[in-house]
Amino acid sequence: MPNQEQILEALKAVQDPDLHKDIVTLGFVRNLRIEGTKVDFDLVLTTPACPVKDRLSEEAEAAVKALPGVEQVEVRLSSAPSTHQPDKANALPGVRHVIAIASGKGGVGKSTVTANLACALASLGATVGVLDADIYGPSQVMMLGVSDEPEIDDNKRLYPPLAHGLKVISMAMFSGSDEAVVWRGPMVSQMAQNFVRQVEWGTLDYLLIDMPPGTGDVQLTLSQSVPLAGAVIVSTPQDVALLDARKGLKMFEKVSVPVLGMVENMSGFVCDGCGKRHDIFKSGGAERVSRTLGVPYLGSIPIEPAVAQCGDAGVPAVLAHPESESGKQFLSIAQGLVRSLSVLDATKDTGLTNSVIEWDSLPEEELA
Amino acid sequence: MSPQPLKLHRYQGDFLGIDWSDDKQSVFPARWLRGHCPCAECVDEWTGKRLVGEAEVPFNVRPTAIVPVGRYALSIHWNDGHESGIYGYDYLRKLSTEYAAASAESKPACGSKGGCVPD
Repeated sequence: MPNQEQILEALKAVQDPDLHKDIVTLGFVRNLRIEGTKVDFDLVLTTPACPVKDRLSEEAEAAVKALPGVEQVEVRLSSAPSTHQPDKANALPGVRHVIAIASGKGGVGKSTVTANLACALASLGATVGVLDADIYGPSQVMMLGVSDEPEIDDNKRLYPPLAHGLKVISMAMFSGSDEAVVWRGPMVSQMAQNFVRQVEWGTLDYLLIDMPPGTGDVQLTLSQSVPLAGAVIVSTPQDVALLDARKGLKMFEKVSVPVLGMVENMSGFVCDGCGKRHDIFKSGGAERVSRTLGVPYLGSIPIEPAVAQCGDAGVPAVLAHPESESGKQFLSIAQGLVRSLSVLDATKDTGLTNSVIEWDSLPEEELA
Repeated sequence: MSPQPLKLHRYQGDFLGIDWSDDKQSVFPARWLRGHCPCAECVDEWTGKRLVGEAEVPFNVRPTAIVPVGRYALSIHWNDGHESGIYGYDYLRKLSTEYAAASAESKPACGSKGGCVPD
């Protein structure tokens, strides 16, 4: 029977394909126990939505089973608890990753992408919230089919209602869905900040923010008041939209929010009659732009009539038509996103969180 | 993406230290940093001329609090009541190089190891 060190040595053969390190070095293997011919351990991954969790667990099991004397192996999969310390000054305690879904211009299907990515991330096993910050044209209530109102307690804290297992807060919940919001920029910024600070999200793996289109006030305010883990830029294949997408990318670069990747929406039309894909606009533009700008390209979503209808019906395509081209693409984009984030996490490039650091609370050190 | 600060240090004699994500370190004397505040009260917006420099601030000026702004800047609040300075990470890195060069000319105010490594 091998000892603990020999087992760990064997487990070092299992590599995380995204982090390019073995699971022992990454600290994923914990609570290793040997009982007779039985070995059991925890495999603690960085996120419950880890796209390679099954592969890692199978490889780990196989690696240990291959050792002489081992008859039974039990691998318990889990994900590490939030590393964020709950902090009163932090605008969003308990939320591990805040992701902005943005676009340079309107009408590219950013809200559809947000709704579907949220559902896809949830189906991968993560706890997900959606903040509809598209104050001028909120659509998440309709797209996700939210029927409940948020609850408000005595301290004016908002508790988001659930839809398809997602926690959702939207401007539409406060203004009525067919009323136009006619506000000046500063009011919008104020509202955006209140949105962020007054909502009780609880514990979330991912909070997706459906941003208003463009590179204006609200986008800046949100980037400044929330520690964004990153942004996803949605574009259509036309050159004009791509030009705007480029601007969106530059804005995030200015405020040092990493761009997690680009998504091309309305990339071709999948005919419901013949099943053939027609590229109405040129396709592949987003892929080209993301390559020239050095950001990951996450995938492309075609136009499918059946899929377009589910947005209006309140059930995102990922849930209504998981077998459709769009459904598969959304799932693969969500996996790409999770990877992009865990690579970022692992490089510890996350900086300080948005909390006040009192000078006197820092320990006085001697200057070497 | 520009380097991000990972940790802040308070050194004896009111020096602010920053550990960056690319393993570099910066160290600034608090008063020098206050004298390099980039806000519109301290620097004329039109001419770029410095209105409030080190000579204009109290000798014992020190930070009271440091607030990260998004992922691009630190807002430093000072005990002379000044709170409007937002020090962008790029600006802090530039200052780090500047301070290292200035102190190398005069006296080695920088730490013998670590402190104010130029880019």
